[in-house]
Amino acid sequence: MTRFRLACCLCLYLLLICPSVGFAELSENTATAPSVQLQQENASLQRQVKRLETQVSALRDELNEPDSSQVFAGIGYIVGIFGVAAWVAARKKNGQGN
Amino acid sequence: MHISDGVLPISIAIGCGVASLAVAAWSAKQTASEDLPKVAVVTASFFVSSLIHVPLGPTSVHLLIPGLVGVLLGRSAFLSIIIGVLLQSLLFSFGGLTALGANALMMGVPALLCGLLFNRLRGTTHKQNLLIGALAGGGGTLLAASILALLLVSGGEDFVGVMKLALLSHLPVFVVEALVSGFTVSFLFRVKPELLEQRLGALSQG
Repeated sequence: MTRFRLACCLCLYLLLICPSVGFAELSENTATAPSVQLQQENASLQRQVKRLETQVSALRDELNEPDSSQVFAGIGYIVGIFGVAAWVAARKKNGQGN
Repeated sequence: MHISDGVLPISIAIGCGVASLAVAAWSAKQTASEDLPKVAVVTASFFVSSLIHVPLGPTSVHLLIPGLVGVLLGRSAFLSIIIGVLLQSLLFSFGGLTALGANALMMGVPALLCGLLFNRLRGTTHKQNLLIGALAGGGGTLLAASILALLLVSGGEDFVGVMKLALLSHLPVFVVEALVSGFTVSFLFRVKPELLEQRLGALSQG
């Protein structure tokens, strides 16, 4: 009875421990290979993200740059403002002359 | 060289706004109606010149030409500059609307002083005009940078540090401005000297 019990315990022990030991060994073996791979992938991803970030910031700078339509709008405003001012001034002068 | 929204304390921003409006009204009153087309053309040049970027290492700076505006317009310069700065802030989002007065003062006061200086010195030869133009251009930008530093100090920054940064970062601008203004003034002196005449005689009468 005790011997049977001992055998059972041993079996149980083996069942429980061995696989875990095996897995542990397995995972250790396989973990080293993918971790190198993962690190490489990580590094390349980081590089790509950095490149994208610089592109985004360049794009943002470009978006902040005023385009030609705004430049012409501003020149139009200036001509308009001074045109109105000149018109008013001319009216005043003519009124005084008359 | 523009001050953005929320950099200056509100009291300073409002004070600058009121002061710039007052100076602009004075400047408009001093402007002869015959001069309006000239003021318009110089305003348009001032407005557009801020788009001319000078690459400088990792960053780039742009032309300001307050000195040149002052030389060409004299007392009308402030009117020209406040309109230019207003449109730049509306269309290019250079500087904020609440800081408009501060920005106008920063560019306009040097312009007025440069106009005064140019009128006092008034060169008679080609070379003299080149030198005086360069002096006005470089000096105007230098003054604008100093006013910028002074205004930023009111926002609670350390004066010496801000001044150093403002002057150092604009060092190439001073050189470029001096070159551009010098050559422009000497060129105008050669081809159209009447453009450099500020109508001071007419103004003192009115």
